[in-house]
Amino acid sequence: MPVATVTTSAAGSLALLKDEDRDVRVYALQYLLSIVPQFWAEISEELPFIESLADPQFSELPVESRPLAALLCSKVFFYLGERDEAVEFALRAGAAFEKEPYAEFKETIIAGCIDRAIADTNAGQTVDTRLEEIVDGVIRSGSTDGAKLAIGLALSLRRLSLIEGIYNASRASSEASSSRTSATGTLHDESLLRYILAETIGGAAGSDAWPDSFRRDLLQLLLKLFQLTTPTDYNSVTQLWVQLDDAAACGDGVVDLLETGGDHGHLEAYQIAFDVTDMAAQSFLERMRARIEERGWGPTGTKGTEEERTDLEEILNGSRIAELYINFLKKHNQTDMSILKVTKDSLEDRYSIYHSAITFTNAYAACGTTSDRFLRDNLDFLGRASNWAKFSATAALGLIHRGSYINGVRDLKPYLPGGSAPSKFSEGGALFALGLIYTGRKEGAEKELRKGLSEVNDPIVQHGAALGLGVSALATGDEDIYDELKNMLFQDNATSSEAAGYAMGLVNIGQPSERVLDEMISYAGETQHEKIVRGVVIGVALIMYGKRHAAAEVLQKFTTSNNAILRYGGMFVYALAYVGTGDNKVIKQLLHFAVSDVNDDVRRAAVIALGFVLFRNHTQVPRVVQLLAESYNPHVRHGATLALGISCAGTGLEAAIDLLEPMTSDPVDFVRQGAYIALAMILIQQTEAQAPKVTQIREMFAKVVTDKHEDPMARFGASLAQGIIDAGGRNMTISLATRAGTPDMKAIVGMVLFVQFWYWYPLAHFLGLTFSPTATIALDGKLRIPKVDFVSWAKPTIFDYPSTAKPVTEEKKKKAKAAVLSTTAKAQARAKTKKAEQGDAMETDDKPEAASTATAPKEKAKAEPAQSIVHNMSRITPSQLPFITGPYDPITPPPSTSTPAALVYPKKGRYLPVRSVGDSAAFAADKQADGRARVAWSGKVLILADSAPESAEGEYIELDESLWPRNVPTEVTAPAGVAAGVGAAAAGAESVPAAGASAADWNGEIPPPFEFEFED
Amino acid sequence: MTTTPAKDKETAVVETKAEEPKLEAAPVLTVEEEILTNIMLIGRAVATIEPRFTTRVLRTLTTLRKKLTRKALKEVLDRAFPKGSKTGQQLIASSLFALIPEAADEGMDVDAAPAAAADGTVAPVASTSKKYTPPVDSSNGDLIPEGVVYLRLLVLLAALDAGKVVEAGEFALETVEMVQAANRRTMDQIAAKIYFYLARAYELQDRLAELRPTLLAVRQTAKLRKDEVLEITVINLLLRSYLQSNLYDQADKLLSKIETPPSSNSAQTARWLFYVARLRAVQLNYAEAADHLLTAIRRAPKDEVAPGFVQIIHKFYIVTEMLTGRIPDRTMFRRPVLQQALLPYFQIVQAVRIGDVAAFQRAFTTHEQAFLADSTHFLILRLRHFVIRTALRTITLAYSRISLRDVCLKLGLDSEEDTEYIVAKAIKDRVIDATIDHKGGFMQSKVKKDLYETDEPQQQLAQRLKYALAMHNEALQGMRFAANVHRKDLETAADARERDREIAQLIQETEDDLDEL
Repeated sequence: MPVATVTTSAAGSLALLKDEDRDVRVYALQYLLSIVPQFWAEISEELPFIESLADPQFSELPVESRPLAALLCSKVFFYLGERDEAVEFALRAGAAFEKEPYAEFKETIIAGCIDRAIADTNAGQTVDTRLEEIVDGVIRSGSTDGAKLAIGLALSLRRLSLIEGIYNASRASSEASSSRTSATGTLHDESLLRYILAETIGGAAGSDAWPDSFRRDLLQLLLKLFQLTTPTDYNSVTQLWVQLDDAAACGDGVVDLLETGGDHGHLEAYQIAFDVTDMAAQSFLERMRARIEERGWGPTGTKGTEEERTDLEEILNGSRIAELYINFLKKHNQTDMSILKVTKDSLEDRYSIYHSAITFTNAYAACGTTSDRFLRDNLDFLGRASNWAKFSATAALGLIHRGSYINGVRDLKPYLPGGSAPSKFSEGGALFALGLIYTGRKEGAEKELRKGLSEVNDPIVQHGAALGLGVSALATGDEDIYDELKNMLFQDNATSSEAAGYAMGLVNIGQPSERVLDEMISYAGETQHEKIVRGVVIGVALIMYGKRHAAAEVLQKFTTSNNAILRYGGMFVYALAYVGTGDNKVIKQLLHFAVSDVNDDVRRAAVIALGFVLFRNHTQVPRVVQLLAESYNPHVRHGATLALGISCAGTGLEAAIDLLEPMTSDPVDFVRQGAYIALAMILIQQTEAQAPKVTQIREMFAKVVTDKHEDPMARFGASLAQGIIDAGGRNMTISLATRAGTPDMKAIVGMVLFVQFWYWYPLAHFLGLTFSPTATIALDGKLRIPKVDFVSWAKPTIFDYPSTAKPVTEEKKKKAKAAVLSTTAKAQARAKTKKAEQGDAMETDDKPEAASTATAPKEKAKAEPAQSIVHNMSRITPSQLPFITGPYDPITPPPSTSTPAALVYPKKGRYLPVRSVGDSAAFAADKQADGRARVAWSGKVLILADSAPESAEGEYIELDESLWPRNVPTEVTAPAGVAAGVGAAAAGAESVPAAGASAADWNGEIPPPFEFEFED
Repeated sequence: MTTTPAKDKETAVVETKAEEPKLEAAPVLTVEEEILTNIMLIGRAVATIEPRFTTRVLRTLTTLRKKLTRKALKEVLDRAFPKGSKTGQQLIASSLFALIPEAADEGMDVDAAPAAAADGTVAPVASTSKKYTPPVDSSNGDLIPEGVVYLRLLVLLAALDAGKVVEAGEFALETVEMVQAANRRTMDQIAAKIYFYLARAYELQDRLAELRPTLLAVRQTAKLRKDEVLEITVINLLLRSYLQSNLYDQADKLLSKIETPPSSNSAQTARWLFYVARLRAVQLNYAEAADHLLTAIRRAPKDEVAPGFVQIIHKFYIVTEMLTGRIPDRTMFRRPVLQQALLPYFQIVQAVRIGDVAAFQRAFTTHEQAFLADSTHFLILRLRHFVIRTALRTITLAYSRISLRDVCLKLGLDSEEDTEYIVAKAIKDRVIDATIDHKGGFMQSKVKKDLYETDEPQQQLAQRLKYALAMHNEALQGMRFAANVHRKDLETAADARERDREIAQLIQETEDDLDEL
């Protein structure tokens, strides 16, 4: 054995390793282990031999030393950079490996173990027990601050028991526990559970790869753990109920709270009911209502007071919130009529495309506000509608009156079949409009729509009826309606059957059954009409909504078809089945189609589908589509614009705007069209303070619309963009997710059908489904609207409405720029130099002027207060939500002084919220937490607990009864003038500054239904 | 210890590439200003996580090193740190700093003079260049660790130049500990330099072998962290150390077990090629050695930047080239930087070329010391056979038949029997194409084929093409493309479109007017 201080070779020890004496071999092995960092290169030559030493079947070494040989192998492989081999041998070394000091070697091996365990899990193999031991050790040693990491690891390994263990071992942070008065036993860190929930729903942690069974088990575990917490986090629990599609449990939960929860439970139940209407599909709500009815809390039940029962029923069937919204949207309508007027005046409405454009622009801008003022002011415009433009114009009424459940039928009565308007097109449009009004509420107008479908034997009327029926019976899975639509489909009429295809999908969203798919797909193969094929394949795509892997079979059929329309549908199956999952495999597939399909439509659809799949990771989208946006193929570019618009809608994402801006000057007209629409979607409700480019882009829309030499397609797009960016009287935003973070099915479906406007303009109305009001409404236990205020801890200008455009003065014809001759230029230059020479005197003249202009802006820029007061029932945009605290008793605004008012933190008022609304600490924390942390409140309806119920009645905001006549049967056709004056009183009581001339004009008096005699 | 002044230079200089001409053209900055600007650049590199800026700073290290004075360093250390930081003063107080002599030799005086003259004009210079603000580490309010390590590197260089190798070695070890503790990826490039000069300090003390375990550990860490620059630097140091101790076997095993490092740092790649070539030459694999050396020559820094390195690789190249049976190009010996250094080799080449054994022996004995110093001695010894072979070849070409005795005389060999053996061996090695008639005692040559009838020219062309293409590809990969440059083209395209539209509009309007008329 060389005992020299400096060893220069391991050859000696390697020779000893082959010695006949076992003890010598063991000694050599131990010595080699000590010198391996220096001589691994030499030792590696003997690897096969050392490997055989480690083999348990080989008896060259005593049993207890074999792990040492394995460890030596592992180390050599580690130095050679072969991590997988090193991990394998480290596992064989077992205890010998564990004794290693914690250094680079061990760290690398453990990382390798974790990677391997995750890879095995994802591949569906069982994880080696030795691997599991090491990984478990890592998770267990995760200290409390690393608990989230440990949870993430456990999620990747899909180990529910570990998750439960980590949670049970966690302790709530001291601040959180001190705020809880009912500290019984140990409190666990609930934020961990919320983190898992957000990861599961948000699909960010690779959850797209999870099998559905694991997702279900995980959610069930979360539900169990959440229900153990005190006080129960009902916000999360509600989300879980919806995610698990467990309507019965949700119904039970609400009833239990009502029966045993006391006053607070009562409020909590209402809050859950409101949240569910926001998050869940119609079928879920129906099952939940059935459950509640079973428990005796239905409208005709026996439990509780009648008032409570009707309240609950009204919340759950959506009419309460609809009533609140329609009041909000009407009262705060900030539509800028001058924009519409300029657009109308500059687009020649004798062309059908421009006529439609104006119709859509108005419909978007007035969505849900019930303001038909534009139409009343421009009857001549309506009169020029012809054919399908007439259909669209009538259907637009549906968007304008969206959510007007009581007055809806009355408003459209004149146009419905049998009404006073004789045109088939307006009849069809009216039926579609009915559907839009009663979106997801089929009982609202089922009678009229079915009549239109079956009794009138005209494809145009049937077209409208089918679309209307589809959208009103959204996701109900109603068999009768489906069969009726199917019969219509089989008539094989291009117009009506196409609509039937869409409608069949709408009715069965997310509920694939073999029969339905069979019928639809086989029919798509039989018919000769391309329109019908398209209708059916999009219908099938809608049925596969959110089905992920279950859609594989349909996808296989569609994407490998020779028929381009089927492949086109296949792209939308991808989009809907994997909506918001960000699944990497799907993205790869879509990118593949986007660049390699032979058909332009398919390529365009593939790129658009990317927007749907990635909408929850919207910041990635600009990067993903950047190259596609520069494609030589204009269809791909168009797709890229829409993908950006869809995924980044309402976010004002700068990267997306930067990508879209150059595309607004694309040489191809429809690419520009897409760019305008996408920009409007992204910049909706964005102020100049948030997105500095917004003003410039608005101006660009106006310029394109008024430019006579611009291509029609581009002008159409710019006009739509004007409507979108100011949607719903500037009180609505576009978002494909609910504020709770779940995908908003209604909005997603609306968006998918909206992009079909490429083929069929009337479908552009479906964009209305994606709009959601950005109101904050606080209600008390009796569902009254107390006057309370919130404080927005940001400068008012950041979230203000944009200023109304100045009425445009007669545009003077610009004189053509006089050509500048070179001689003139020279002369001017000469004059300039002369001036400069004369210089001094003039400059001194200039100076005081300059000084005064410099000081002027200072005076102008008044010190802006650092916060603003937001009243109940007024606009709070999603991006503003984190800045909101409250509610407080009504606040008198501080006198505007030149110095910014100090941050006065008002005291909590009489009303206390059931859900916590961010206080300033939470706000600061949120800002750092990459925006993923959400306020526990969904941000729409907030139930307040009255802390002084005995004291005098508080002040309440009254609702406009004309908009929502109570106790008046819907059959009554003309309730005109019933409630005159009430609305005016409401407006007077309201301290919101007058909401713009348009709203004021129509307040206080219920106008008769808008009627227009379309000529046939 | 085989280092000579020439090699010292090589070690020091090869590290850095030529300074960009742009920088030279820039207004003359004082040394202090330059260092402070460099620290700001490092700050920017850290802030933007963009290694480019650090590369730029390190590129100027050689030129900066020549200008370093104690005074300048002191002023920099005074100014570089944010207020309230004591790190700078600690450095000034350190024992190593005290050892740096005050502007010792003349060269430094010359450099210091303009700096002193500039003292009066410091204000205007400062106002024209950007004002210095120390990049601060947010965690402790001190200068960023990258900046500190850079300053330590400068102090280390000054100490090495002053010949305080022992102290410099200790100081470098201390710095290495700092680097390891900081463990920052933005520091990697500077860290590689620190390790390099640590090894240099040890080598000057003849203790490089002691550093081997440390270097091996560092290599492993660098590999795990994908720190390519450090990895190749350390591998080079290891190879150097092995070659120095004649541990060719260890060097070979190390080389065979690691992947070829990526060529991200061209100075270090050239170095790596050089060491590998030396190893291959020892292993009798001359062809590969010559290939590597040729690449190293092409990769090496400019002559004036690293003359030592350029000279030594040429020496090895010439010898290995001859060992593969080729005669190096004469132009090589005329380059100004090489002319003097290659003189001994020139004589050897001449002897080999004409196969003059006597001349070879003469040249060899005269310059033996020089060859020993260059460690080319053993290779040149091997060349002796080549001289004989070359001579044999010329003989076979000149005579179709010649008696072995005459061959013996011509080659100046000892006996006729020896001659027969040598000729037989040459025939077997296919150096010459001939037969020996043992009875007649003569050598019969065969008629040589025309080379151009074979595919040799084609192969040569293919080989050169392959080399050129590989170089082209590497150059392409090495280039940086600014992002979104093509956007500008898009803008102009949009403008052109706008113009077209305006013209169309104008034409239409005139037509309308004409219609009205």
